[in-house]
Amino acid sequence: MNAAAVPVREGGMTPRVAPWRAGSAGPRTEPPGGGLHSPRAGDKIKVETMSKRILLVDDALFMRTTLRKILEGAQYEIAGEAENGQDAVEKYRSLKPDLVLMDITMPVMDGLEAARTIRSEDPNATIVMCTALGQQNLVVEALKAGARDYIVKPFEPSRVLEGVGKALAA
Amino acid sequence: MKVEYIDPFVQAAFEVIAQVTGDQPTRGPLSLRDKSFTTQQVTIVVGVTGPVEGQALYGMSIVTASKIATAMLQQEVISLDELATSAISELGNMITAHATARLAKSGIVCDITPPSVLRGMNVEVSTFIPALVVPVLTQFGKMEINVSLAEVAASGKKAA
Repeated sequence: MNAAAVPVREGGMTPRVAPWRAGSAGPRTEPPGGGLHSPRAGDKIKVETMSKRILLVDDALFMRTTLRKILEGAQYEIAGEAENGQDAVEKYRSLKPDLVLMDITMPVMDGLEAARTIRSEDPNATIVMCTALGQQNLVVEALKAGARDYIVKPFEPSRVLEGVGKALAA
Repeated sequence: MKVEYIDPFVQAAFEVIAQVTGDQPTRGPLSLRDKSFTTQQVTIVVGVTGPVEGQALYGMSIVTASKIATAMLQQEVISLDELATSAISELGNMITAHATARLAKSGIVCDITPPSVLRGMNVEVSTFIPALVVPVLTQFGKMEINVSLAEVAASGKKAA
């Protein structure tokens, strides 16, 4: 890929009140994600994003929509979306993305099996798991399957950008 | 079913709801529900498999579901369309996943199935054993957590 280094998020403090919550009722905390929002200008993230193409794999439309908004906000290109592991394997073959952001619990084929299949066909495939399952045994299993990082839902946008950025830079 | 199985789900619900909506829920009284019961207007069903098996069901009204989806999407949800339903479904998925992570810390390592969402008041759900129920009270309305889990014996039979 013809990637150029584009430092898109550097310096500054992360605001204590997320902009998508400002003005709403109820107590304020900094939610690590789930909400549909773009990365904030203050996020401490430095990533190479130009021309990097990402395949989003999650059976939840909500999560694909959320991740798309976060990643497109950081100038990544979404190469495609897949709703299950089998779909992910097929789309990986045809789209050849730079990175796969993969859920684990999905119908038809789960994300771990899909990661193993993709890595068996392309040992250089860059895969980051993004799942609500945070058990240590699954993290270990995901890393053995070839995942470069493991993001637990719900997440902060900055955590997604950090995981994706580091995986692409590795 | 052991009472201690439901606490991880309630704690996980508090944690996930706070993270995705900013609300700080409280819990209502524990109760027991029959093996077969009629769902609320919106029910998220997530299966649990492993040394304990069963279902976690999260029931709420359409109004509550719409308000939670509005908070998760940061856009007004007037009707539960595909995206809003997906948001609610993902809420159930995240709560159950975080609950199983808590169970795993107690040595009970389980997996979960993809969530499904039931709509309609007269949908009857059957569980293997009576479900323990804890209402979780949020600023968006009440969400009932129904957990029906049984230990799986070495023979494969479930023990209530």
